[in-house]
Amino acid sequence: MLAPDVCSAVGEELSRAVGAENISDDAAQLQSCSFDYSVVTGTCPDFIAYPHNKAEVREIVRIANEHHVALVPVSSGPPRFHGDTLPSRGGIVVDFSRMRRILKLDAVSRCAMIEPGVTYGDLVPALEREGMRLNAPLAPRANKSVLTSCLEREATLIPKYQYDYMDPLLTVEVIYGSGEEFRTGSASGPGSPETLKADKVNPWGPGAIDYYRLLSAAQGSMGIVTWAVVRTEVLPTVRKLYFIPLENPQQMCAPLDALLRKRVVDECLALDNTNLATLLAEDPSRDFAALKAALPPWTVLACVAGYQRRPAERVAIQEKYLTDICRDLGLRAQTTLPGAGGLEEEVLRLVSGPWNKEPYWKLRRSDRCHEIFFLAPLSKAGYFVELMRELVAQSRCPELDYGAYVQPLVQGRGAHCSFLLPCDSASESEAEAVRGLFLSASQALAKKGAFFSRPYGPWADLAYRDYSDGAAMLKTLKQIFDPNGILNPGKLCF
Amino acid sequence: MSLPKQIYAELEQIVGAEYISDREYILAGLRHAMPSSPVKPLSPAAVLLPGTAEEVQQIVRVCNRHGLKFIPTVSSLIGFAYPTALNTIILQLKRMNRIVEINRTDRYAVIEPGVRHGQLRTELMKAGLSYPVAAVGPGGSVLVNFACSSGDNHNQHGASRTNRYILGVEWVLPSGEMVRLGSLANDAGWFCADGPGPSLRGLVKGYAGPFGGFGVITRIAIGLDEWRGPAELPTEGRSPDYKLRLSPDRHKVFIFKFPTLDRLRDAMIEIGKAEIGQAVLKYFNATAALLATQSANDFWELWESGLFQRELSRPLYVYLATHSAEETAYEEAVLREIVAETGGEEVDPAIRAIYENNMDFFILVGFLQRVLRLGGAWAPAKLSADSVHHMFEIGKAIPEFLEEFAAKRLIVDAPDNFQIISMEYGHLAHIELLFLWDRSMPAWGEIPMQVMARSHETEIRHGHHGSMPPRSMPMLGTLGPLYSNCHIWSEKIREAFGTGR
Repeated sequence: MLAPDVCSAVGEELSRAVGAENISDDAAQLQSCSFDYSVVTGTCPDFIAYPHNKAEVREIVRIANEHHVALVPVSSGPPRFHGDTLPSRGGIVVDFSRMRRILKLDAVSRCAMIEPGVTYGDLVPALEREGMRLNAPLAPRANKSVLTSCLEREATLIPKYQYDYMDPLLTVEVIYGSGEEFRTGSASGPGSPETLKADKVNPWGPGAIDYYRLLSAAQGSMGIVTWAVVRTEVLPTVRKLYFIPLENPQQMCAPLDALLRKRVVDECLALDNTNLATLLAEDPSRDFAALKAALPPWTVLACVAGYQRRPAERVAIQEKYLTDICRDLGLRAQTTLPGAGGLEEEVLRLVSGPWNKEPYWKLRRSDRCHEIFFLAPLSKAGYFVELMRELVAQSRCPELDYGAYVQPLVQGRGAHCSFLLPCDSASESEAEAVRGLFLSASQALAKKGAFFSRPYGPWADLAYRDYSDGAAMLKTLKQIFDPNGILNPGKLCF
Repeated sequence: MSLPKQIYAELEQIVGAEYISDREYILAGLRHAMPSSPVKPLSPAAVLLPGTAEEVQQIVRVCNRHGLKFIPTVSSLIGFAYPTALNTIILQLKRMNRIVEINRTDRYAVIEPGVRHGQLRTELMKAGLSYPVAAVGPGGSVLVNFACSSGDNHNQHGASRTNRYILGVEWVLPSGEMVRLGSLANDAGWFCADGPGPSLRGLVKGYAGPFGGFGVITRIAIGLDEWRGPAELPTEGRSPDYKLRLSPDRHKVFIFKFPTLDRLRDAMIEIGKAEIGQAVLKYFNATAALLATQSANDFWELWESGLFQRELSRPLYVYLATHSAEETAYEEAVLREIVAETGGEEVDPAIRAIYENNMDFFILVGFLQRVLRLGGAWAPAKLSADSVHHMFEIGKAIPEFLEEFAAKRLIVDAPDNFQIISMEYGHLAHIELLFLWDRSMPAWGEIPMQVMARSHETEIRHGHHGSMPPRSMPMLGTLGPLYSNCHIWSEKIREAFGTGR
């Protein structure tokens, strides 16, 4: 909490900067910013500010520097899961829900320029109207910020459109913690954004530094991004979804790898029956158990697509590759969902846009959950799934019905592995046991080579405790971009 | 100027007497002027050939202790490889040429700086793997192309630029500390370059690399793609007159010409949206003539015939590389449909035959050295990327500043000698304009500076992102403010971490 005199001065200046109607010090609202579904303990902010434009953001950063007040950028609506938006020492939550303009949709250069408050619920239908789509995560909540998701390097569904882990983020405009403004890649210049004719789709540079990477997975601790250009893709005119049932997770690597080497599939991922049933159950309290029992232990979802030219011919060729690859591996690719025929259209919808229902799918079976996620080579995903099974079996909650999900990334050269641990807050002992499992399993997985590339909350210690050289470099950069340490303090190694 | 004996002895102790020298006749070979610059480099104080990353670390620490600068290099084909200050030593990394690992399962290769394209590509083809080979010829260092210099390549339409393929990085900082980036940082293997948290990979390379000006990268992993050709290249004849044809069922080359750049641009965009083709580019026409001939006289004869100006001023090169004859037929049908819609026509069959008979243009570009044959000098005036659309806008504006130089006969009259390479299925494109001039003219050293200055002026006037911000601080100080003040940020980072040179 700020000292009363500082609080009063900051409040007055914020009112002048963004308008009194765009700041809040309502106790209930402030309180709601101090907790989420993570294991991180937050504090109440002193204010919430709702900027409408870059000038207002710049002014907020100036005020924060002048009074040494922490700023915590928040772009997505709740529920939140990682603790990255929880203030560690009060300050100002900068809520971007009122900076929500789609600034440009460009079907020729296949990109969209968006403000931080633009959500998947906003952007996906807008792109579809222009014949485009976004390489998005699996069923993101509709109120999730697209910009934040990209900036935080969240896993996306179509590995063939990922050339490195930064995709689909292209360029950004940022206000650094120092208050200075910068634009990355081909958005840098020459000249102002108004006179620059580039489409701002070259993410690299300017010069010999990839500045956008330094902002990525930073949890808003390096700078506040005021717009981003993200790459978009041609909306298929024909799509065909295949299901490859698997008896065990060790089988998933071979078909996924073979398909991605040949660039055969668009969306592709592997879900266990718990997660797939959670996503598909009409009413989880009623249908989940039966649906899960009917589904195979694991299912690979693989979508083939044709675009604007000769789409049926393209799909036929890709289908042949897909079925040949599966046959050679002794697997069967089928167009009906094994164990749950009739839900195929629903699966296709799930991999095509945001989650629009309440509650969010990760909270369908319990009112709380913890998610462990990390990166690994695709070839090791099966190993980590097995390891997690052992860790759960040895834990204080051995019967926990957790869900697993493997998302191949970057042409299949890597994979995002996720384990969703449900827990019911009504049972304190269960909640404590699941929390304990979350922490101990994270450590055990890291020891075996799981890469916590986005180290939220307690994972920061796993990532940086034996990486002092890298942490020192990050602190040097933090000092350059945010010399007063006002941006989201207490996160990562800062 | 030689090193003091005591410092020389310290360095000698690290690498051994065999791998250090300050002999005059050795150093003379390391201070020759580049063809494109009249500036004669300063002599290095010594040259060292370290064999391991640990030796590099120790050398860097000795340099820091004694105030020496160091330049790491392998091929030494560009000016950055040569000293600009006294008390500089050259770290020639050619001994560090080990392919540390080829991981067929996870599709990456771990390499040291001295590994050349010809070496790595040959090994990878045996494993059914490949990567986008930068168009520098087989003798170029893979690591340098990926992590330290530019790294554009003919195949980046169906792949990308080499910087996209960097995975784990092992890096000796200017301080002498060794840092590992990405998944390697947490002993999780070589598969990912970014993280944990904000990606320090951003310091390794942006659009271009630091050209050895930011410590020494001693090992990197690069991502690999599937190779759609045979384990061994079926060459016929002898270099330089060799042929390399791949199975027409799966590998096909087309060259079309277009009446306008706009039509060519539209074709490139549509091919990208259809996600067909491995290589799609508008190639240089004078450079193409150099590559197509075996002597300077042959080149002039061809160039003066006007054939390449007529046929290749607005060409679209397309290389299809697929997994089956059926897929090739599909891609060809889509390609022909697009070309017909956009008004393209096939070029003279003799020109297409050059590329059909030697598909190495899309593999290692083993004959690239021919571009140096004229004996004059060449330099790029554009080197940048953005959308296909924007790159063509830049291309259309080239005559605005180039024609005056050709009219004064200061450069070879080749206004179409620029390439635009589609990358990532047309999501972006790269542009490069090469101009050639005669070094026997008076004040020839001024020519490239004047062309580049006029090119920059044109870009600023139009708002074109056609060049990287220049690397030299005096020019960066002038132009940096136009590029979001990048000069201030890069200088802050240089000050914080040092540079080594």
